[in-house]
Amino acid sequence: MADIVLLRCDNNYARNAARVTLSSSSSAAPSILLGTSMAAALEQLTNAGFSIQSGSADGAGFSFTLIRGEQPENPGIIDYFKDKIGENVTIETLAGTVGGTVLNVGIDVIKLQEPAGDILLVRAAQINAAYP
Amino acid sequence: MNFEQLLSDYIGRQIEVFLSSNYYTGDLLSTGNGQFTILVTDPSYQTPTEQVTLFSNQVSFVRILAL
Repeated sequence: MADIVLLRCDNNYARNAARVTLSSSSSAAPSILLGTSMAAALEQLTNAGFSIQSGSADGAGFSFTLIRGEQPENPGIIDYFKDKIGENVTIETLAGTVGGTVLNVGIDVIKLQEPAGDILLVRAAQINAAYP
Repeated sequence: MNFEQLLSDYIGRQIEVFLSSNYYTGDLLSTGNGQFTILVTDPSYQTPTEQVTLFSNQVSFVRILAL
């Protein structure tokens, strides 16, 4: 399971700083004290293994989503096969070509069922190409 | 869910493991972090021992044979 932190930092123009005004995190994530400077909070979280998933700015401050944990190494491949669940695909890998119905998609693996009934677990990092 | 977690559902089953330049077949004994162990049922000179630990990063795909 991934750990997630949502962070809101509002500008304080009088102090020339942006400070944390809202921090919402999943249970295993470190808690960020309100009032912590934005830079210090981001440093604390990145040192704890988090990376910024998204960030945005508006007239009042900054918002961040940070995630730690299971993230796909090959998000393009994973997203492709998530759209193919239930469909038949052929996959070219470094060890040969396989095919079947996409049953499930993990963070680094595609689960297929071959026509003969066998299950295939294909590692995403080893996939060269795919086609219907 | 990652590769080893999905594979762990099939402990005790007969599997075929395909690497880019090698192939193993046997019964899946256990899975761990980045690795899994099989009891080779068709040993060859390349796999003289019966119990082989394979490292997931080198694996292209695993076939779990239907019962």
